Amino acid sequence: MSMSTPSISPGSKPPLAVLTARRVSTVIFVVALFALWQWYSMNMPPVLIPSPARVFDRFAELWTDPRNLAYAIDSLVHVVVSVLLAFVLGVAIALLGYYFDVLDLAIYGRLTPFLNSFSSIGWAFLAMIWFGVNEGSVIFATTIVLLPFAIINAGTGLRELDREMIEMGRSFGRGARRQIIWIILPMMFPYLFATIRLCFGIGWQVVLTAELLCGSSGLGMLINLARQRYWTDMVFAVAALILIVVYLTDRIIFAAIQQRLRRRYELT
Amino acid sequence: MTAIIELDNVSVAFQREVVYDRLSFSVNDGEFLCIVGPSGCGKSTLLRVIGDLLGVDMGGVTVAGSPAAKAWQEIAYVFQSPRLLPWRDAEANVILGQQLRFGRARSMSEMRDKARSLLELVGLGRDMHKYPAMLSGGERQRVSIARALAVEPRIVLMDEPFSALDVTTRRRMRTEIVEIWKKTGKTIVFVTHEIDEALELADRVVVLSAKPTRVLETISIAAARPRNLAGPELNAARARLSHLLGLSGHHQE
Repeated sequence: MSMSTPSISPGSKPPLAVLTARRVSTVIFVVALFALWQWYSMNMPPVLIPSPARVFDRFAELWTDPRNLAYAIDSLVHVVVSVLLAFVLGVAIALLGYYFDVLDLAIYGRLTPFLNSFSSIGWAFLAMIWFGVNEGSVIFATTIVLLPFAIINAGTGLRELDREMIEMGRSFGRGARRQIIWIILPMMFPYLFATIRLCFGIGWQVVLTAELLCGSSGLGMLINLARQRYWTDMVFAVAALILIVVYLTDRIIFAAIQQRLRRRYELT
Repeated sequence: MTAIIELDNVSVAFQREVVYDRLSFSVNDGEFLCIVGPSGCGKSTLLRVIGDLLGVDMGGVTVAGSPAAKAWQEIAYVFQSPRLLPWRDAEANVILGQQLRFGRARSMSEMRDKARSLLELVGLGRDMHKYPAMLSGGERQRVSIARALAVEPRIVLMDEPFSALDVTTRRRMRTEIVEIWKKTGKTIVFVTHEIDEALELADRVVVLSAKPTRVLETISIAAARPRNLAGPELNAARARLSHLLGLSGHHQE
């Protein structure tokens, strides 16, 4: 998808006005979507398309009912643990490939394509067979889906390292551990951060599938319960909750950190 | 004077290209030695060989009485570009070299004191907390000199450290590096492509040939410092160096 930059011809409105127009059109678009949803829900049974008001009530219930809140917290824990595990494993595997050239093909030519091509549902089923229906299965399935993203991102960061800086580091000390701590990891920060940001977004998508199939708790399991009881409004409310959590985390926390990182790394 | 670096019949080849063909020379303890040679003859590579950043195919490199692979702690580099980490200020960049070399064997307060005293020495006492982007080219190179001296090496290898600087800064830096050398008593091996730079700085100048590289001649310069580059001894040395490098009639800087 490409976005064209609005051209400013003599006599046209300044950029600020263009931005405002864009914002207004975005608000109109969202309001129109809600209006369409409202109109459509009035002509459909609630079990198929619940109205926005009905979904909002369920959404409020998610926050007020401690059991529902516990499901949300469980999902958040699943995502955070899986992202951290995938991150640590991915960076470790990428570092192995960096220090041992002989492993390069095995990691980037075999392991990551295999992990990338196998679907999250497949992993969830395997986790259920191997470990049963529990939190461990959810974390395993989510981690293994996130792992190739972490390996590829960290590996790209390592390949893009400034060789002159690495040589400078080696001229002062030959210990790999000191070089990793003081030179390599700090230089990889933008890539490592991008890895966490990417994995967090994908993690929410995967964790729902994993919880749905092999979870004993979490929003995925709540969706499964809602599906069995025809609580379509609950399914919509959970989707809205995840959307809000991912959006706010990405825009408020990750975007702010990325901005700071950019300033720090653009000093050259 | 005793030799602190000895290259004995060193041969290095990259695939089919022979870089050094039985190259031999030595560097005396405490001397300022310049290496000059035509472009692409492997001057920078030679510093990598001395510092064991690059292995040799044949021959031996001895540093402070040990094979180069075991003597890297005697050496510190000042590279052509300063190679400072952009997210560390001047002081932290000088500390970095020490962290990499000593780890926890030297305390942070010791490292900081060392960094501060050396930044004072190179004239950056007021700029310790400036980031590389806030420093000029000459100031950045001074930070990298301080970083090299902070690990207390016996030998400092300098790879055209002033080549990216403007003429005025370069002249000032040459004077300063001679002062630092006098104060610290280090052995300095300085690669340059400028004849006048070698004449101003060196006790001896090793002249390398084009590839496959060998030593054409080693010229001793006994003139007292600060040197008058227009004096008869340096004029004679310049003429000889120009002749060896095939630059007859070429006026430097």
